[in-house]
Amino acid sequence: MVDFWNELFLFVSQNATPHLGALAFRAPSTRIHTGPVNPAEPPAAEPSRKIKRKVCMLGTFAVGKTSLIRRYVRGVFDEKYLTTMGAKVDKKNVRVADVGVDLLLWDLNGEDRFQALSMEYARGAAGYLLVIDRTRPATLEAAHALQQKVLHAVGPLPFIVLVNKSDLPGHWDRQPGDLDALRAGGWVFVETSARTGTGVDEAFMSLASRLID
Amino acid sequence: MSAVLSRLLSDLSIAVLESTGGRSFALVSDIPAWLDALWPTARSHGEALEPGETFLFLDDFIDRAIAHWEAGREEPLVSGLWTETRADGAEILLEATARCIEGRPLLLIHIPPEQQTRGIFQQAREQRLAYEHLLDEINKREILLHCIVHDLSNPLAGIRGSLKLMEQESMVSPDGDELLRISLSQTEKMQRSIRGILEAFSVDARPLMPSIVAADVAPDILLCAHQVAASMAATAALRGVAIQVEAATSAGDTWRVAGEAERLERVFFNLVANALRYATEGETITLRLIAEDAYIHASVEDQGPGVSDAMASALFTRFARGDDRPGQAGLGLYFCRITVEQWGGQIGYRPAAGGGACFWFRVPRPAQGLTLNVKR
Repeated sequence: MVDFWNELFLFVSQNATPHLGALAFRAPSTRIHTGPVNPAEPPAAEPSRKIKRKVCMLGTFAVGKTSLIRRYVRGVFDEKYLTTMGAKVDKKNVRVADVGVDLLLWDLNGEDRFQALSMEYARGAAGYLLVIDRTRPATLEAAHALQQKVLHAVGPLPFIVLVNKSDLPGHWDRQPGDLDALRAGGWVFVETSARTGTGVDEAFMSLASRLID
Repeated sequence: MSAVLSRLLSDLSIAVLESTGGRSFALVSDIPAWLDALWPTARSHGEALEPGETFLFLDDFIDRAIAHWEAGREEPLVSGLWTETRADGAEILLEATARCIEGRPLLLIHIPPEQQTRGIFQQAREQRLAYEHLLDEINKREILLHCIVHDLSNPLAGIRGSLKLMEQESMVSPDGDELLRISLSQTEKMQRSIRGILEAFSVDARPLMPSIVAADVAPDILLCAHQVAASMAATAALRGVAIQVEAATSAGDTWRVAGEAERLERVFFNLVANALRYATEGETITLRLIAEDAYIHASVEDQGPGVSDAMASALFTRFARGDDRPGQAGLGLYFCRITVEQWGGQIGYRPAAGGGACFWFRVPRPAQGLTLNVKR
């Protein structure tokens, strides 16, 4: 048995450069503007073009999809868990190199025994973020099932797996084979915490950079 | 649309919009309260409402709706549920339906029935999270227990081996013999306790599915009862207690049961050991077997003080033990219950007919002619 997370994050750190597979994460080589503009710097030039991209947040219930979007769009976090029904759509304008991107963030209900997830919501998506909860091993299996569902319904799309709640202690024991199979499918993991904000901007922007034609 | 109908739709929390070309709409019904709260400027837009700008979810759906209307389809196109947040932070669940009626492309937005049931979803998921958390905690504790037990087990085996060697090689003086005997006896007791804990927890960790055991390899419960009685006879005799086996046998009876011989012996062993603890000189412990149609009923009866009502209800739970039984882990009867239930049987207690305690269990006979999933 190996410590899943040690291996996972070792894997992530080793794959900060272009990775195998059509769906793999590639560290953006283009300049990404995310934060407030430094007044000392000259104002950024107008983007050469503007595009709109639909991004879905997928994962089983209570992994933190809504909290990640709230953190990313509004910079806030609420400890209270409020289950999402259907979809909740938010928008964030970002800039990737000289392209202005309107990210339409679709927060979708978590699929479980109480509620199925309609793939109609995923239609027209340019990519998606698959969220798992590092303290709940079963969320990885649920994410895998969802990824297969999306693949079947809308075809291959760029995606990144967010390993959320990184601020909480958690420990999974996994057989090395589990990870190998996911790697072979092009899965890339990014550690995030909606509570502290760790990795959140980076994860969204990493995906955004992959959605530029 | 008539004023009455318009008012009625509003009362039903349905907003009706009609496409005026492209992505623009005109409101053709009264404005329901929820729409006023979410989109206060809607009534001032006349025929240039752009719901896709206010409700981002609709921006996507309107594309599909336009295609639907242009295709001349008459069946409704439903958006699926979505959530909007009011200025005060309250969330409202909505659903849209695109319809083309008499050539008029209509978009209906309403509060779906799920708005009323979302509290149930919330509660169900919170309970599910609490349940997962509880399982996780139990799992952690059991792993910890296993680690502790294993850490004790290995040094104990070493101590016991050394003591045995000292005994075999006569390495202690005659004065020390008694101390050596006590040490050996105590280490043996500790090993038994560790085995009991491990068995109880390992059985508990398995799903409680009845085992399917082939008839030709199923253990003979009568033989098992005799073996346990024989193995404990000497210990019982030291206390002046007798152990007997009674079986109501008729011609053609078979005593095979769906279980595992080793565990079955342990069930009998635990029950007899339990009876022996309370037995006094001159008493008899009886292992009784009765063949039923699909089960074998077994009981261990003693002539001791019996079990108090207060204790009887908790006899088969983990760590249950009598107040007058110091040193017992309280896992013996728990192990019996888990084991018997795993085989699809039952276990229980009742006062014995002539006073004393009667612990009984019934286990199913093995399946006949099974060829799949059979343990051999």
